Amino acid sequence: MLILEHISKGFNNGIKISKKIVIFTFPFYIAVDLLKQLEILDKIGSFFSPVMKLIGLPGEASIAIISGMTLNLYAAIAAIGPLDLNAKQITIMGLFLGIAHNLIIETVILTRTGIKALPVLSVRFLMAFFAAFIVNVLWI
Amino acid sequence: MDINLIEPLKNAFMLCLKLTLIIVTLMVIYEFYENSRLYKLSQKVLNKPFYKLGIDSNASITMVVGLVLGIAYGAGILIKNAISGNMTQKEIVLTSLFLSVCHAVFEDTLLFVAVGANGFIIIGMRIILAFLMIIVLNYYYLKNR
Repeated sequence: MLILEHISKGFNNGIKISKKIVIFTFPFYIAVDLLKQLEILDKIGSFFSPVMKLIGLPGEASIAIISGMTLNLYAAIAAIGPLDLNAKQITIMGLFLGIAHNLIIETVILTRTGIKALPVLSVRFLMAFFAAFIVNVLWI
Repeated sequence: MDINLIEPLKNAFMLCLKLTLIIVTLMVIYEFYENSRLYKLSQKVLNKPFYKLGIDSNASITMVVGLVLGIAYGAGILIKNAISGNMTQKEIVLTSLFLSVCHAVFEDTLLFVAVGANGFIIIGMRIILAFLMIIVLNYYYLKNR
């Protein structure tokens, strides 16, 4: 009956942890989606476009970066489609967003371990920028 | 302007359902894994490289889970270990930061490879940078002790 014991213990742990995560994920998802519908995300995108040049991406790519950072990678992939980027630019985008994506929801999840949100956010953003910058400089 | 509230509500619900299903499944699998001989064996193997970085075997397992799966799932195990008092404060911070930079490396990267990115560069850079960060932070912790 050890097997049943493992299953029920694992199930209970899973439900307990899911509850902790879902309570935050659900309202945040809706809040971020509303920001998108109100076209506030678009405005942020064009504002950041000069910074994009530092990591070798065109201004319009900030839309994809912003959607990836605030929403998720699926949103970013969808935004990349019409931009006509080359392999280097897509790799830089994948590296940047691989490190810094879905920041709102994932940071909320990570803070459940007791860590503060600000260090997590700044580490991810700086590491993403640093990594993208290195690839932009080294890839000729 | 028309604001659609039904669609995000539906999507948010589906996301939460998906997360719950995966976390519960993973937790059941993890329960078996934690009580198996494989757990002790993998702890032994992972212990050495991570120990040098100042991370105990308990935390190293969490890192590997998060590295391969996602943050929600890696953090699930991390939260469990953090609550149960199996990890020191330093380990919680180091593991959380490692996971924040380096999680679901295969799943995320494959998405971009599908649209034309170089996957080796993406995965390589993420893992190298995450380890470098842990080495630097661990040095910083040791200095401040």
